[in-house]
Amino acid sequence: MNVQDRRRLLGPANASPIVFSDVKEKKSKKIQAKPDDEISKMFINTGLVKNCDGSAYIEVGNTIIQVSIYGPRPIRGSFIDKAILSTECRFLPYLSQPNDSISRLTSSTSLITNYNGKLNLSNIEQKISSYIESCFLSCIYLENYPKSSIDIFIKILSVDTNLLNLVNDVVHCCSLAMVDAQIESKDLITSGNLRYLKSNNHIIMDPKCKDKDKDITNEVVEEGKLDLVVSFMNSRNDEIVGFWCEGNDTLEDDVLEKLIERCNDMSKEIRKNINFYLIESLE
Amino acid sequence: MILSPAERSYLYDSLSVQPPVRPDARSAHQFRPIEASCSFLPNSNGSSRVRLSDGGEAIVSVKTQVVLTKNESSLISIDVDINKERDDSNFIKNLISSLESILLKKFPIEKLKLTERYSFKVYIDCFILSHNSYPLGLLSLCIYLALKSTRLPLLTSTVNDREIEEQPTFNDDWEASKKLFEPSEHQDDPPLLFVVGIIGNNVFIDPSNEEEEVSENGLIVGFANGEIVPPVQSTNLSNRDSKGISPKHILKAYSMVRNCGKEVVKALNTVVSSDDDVFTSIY
Repeated sequence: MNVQDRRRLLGPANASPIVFSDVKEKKSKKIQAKPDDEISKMFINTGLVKNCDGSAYIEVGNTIIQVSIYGPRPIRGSFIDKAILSTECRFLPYLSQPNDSISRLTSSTSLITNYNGKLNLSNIEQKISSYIESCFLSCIYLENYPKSSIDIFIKILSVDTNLLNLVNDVVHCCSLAMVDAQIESKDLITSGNLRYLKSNNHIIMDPKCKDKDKDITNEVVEEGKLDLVVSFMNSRNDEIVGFWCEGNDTLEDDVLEKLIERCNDMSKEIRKNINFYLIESLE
Repeated sequence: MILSPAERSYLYDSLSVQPPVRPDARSAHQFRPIEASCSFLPNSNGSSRVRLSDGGEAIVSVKTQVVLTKNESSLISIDVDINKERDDSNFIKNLISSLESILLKKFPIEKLKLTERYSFKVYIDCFILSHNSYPLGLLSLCIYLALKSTRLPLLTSTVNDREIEEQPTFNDDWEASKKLFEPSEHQDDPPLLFVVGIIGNNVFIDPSNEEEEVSENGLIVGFANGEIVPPVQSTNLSNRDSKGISPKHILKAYSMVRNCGKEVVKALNTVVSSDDDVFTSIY
């Protein structure tokens, strides 16, 4: 009796099973976690983009941001006595945007294109754009540029952190680009970013951690966490030009006062570094 | 709205004296009178309409749908529609993300869970018929009322459908329905967002259109259960003459919202309970 199975396609009789060689997974270089009271190192460069009026590039850890500023450039149409400031923030299309609670609902809508064939800005992108815009509205001498517009284009090339920490880096990048574009401003904006854990009254400066995905019923919400980013004009009496707080805990007055103060310290520290860079680059 | 330089300086001066003189003779912590009603849309689970004295008007409808929990990324969906405003505009997207950011954190998600497989999905549809000032405050009051008046039909089928698949069935009697936010229980009220304007050393709640035009900066402050909750963020209410603020302003805005918030919640709850009586007597 022929026992060969005719219903299936069989391999040759002398076939032998594949054996995979014993490849060990390459251990990725572990980035050492920085101490909680330290600001992470950043790489900055300005003037890389040649066809715009000012540009800056910033790298903090695995987060890469590039900003180009066009302007002041003339606008068509009726007379205006002040420059119009517009901001557009875009993530590269393949990046997953910081998974904050705000973006969870709308991640699907972010891929809808408008009639230009361009991707619409997602909520996160809009949110960052308007934060930056409101910061720089109070900083630039817009009345010195009548009949003109200043456009800030923020491109996020890579992101490996939470939303507010990203905003913090974006602010610095825009400030540097503003200097490179030589637009008259009251001051250079720098900002500080903190995470406050209520349970042990602990402050993490410049938190680099990603937000965890929350599940649908919102059950795994870590308790008592506050994220804060505050932008300052440090040489103008530490005026606050931007303030953004997210989290899932109540905000007490005394805690807030302390947090703003710590943000200010961090902002000053970054300001020193940026000042140093700018003086160096002059020479 | 375009103000002449004289009007602008008059408004600015009268709002920056101590105590501020507001154009409609309100005190700094006083809201504009509103006309509010709720539970008037027969086809939705909860609804509300709020009209402001300056002609601003918003309608919010809350509808629910039974969904398979595993197919949904979120059980709450918020949509804002404003006349003559593009849905993908920065203005609308920012409104939506501010509302999402506070509602998602303070929503009784466990009440939406029906069985192991099924849950309610809540659609909050906001329609702003007209607005003169920044509509976030108005919208937040309207959403509060709509959520407070939301009723969910009573589940009559079994809660445990892990072994046997079963479509949930509900009690036909609307009298037996349960409120999403039960007033008697030890449960949180829906959160509110307040808009605060800043001029000189003064902060004032619920700025009108003229006040927004001359305000130097603005804050959006979240409020829930007598406490300040995130998001708290700065925002530019007008594109002109914005200036930085100091931590003092933020703390002032805090205590103001904390005090007014309780009064506002009390007033809104009265609206809900009075309208609810009418509603239940009809059905």
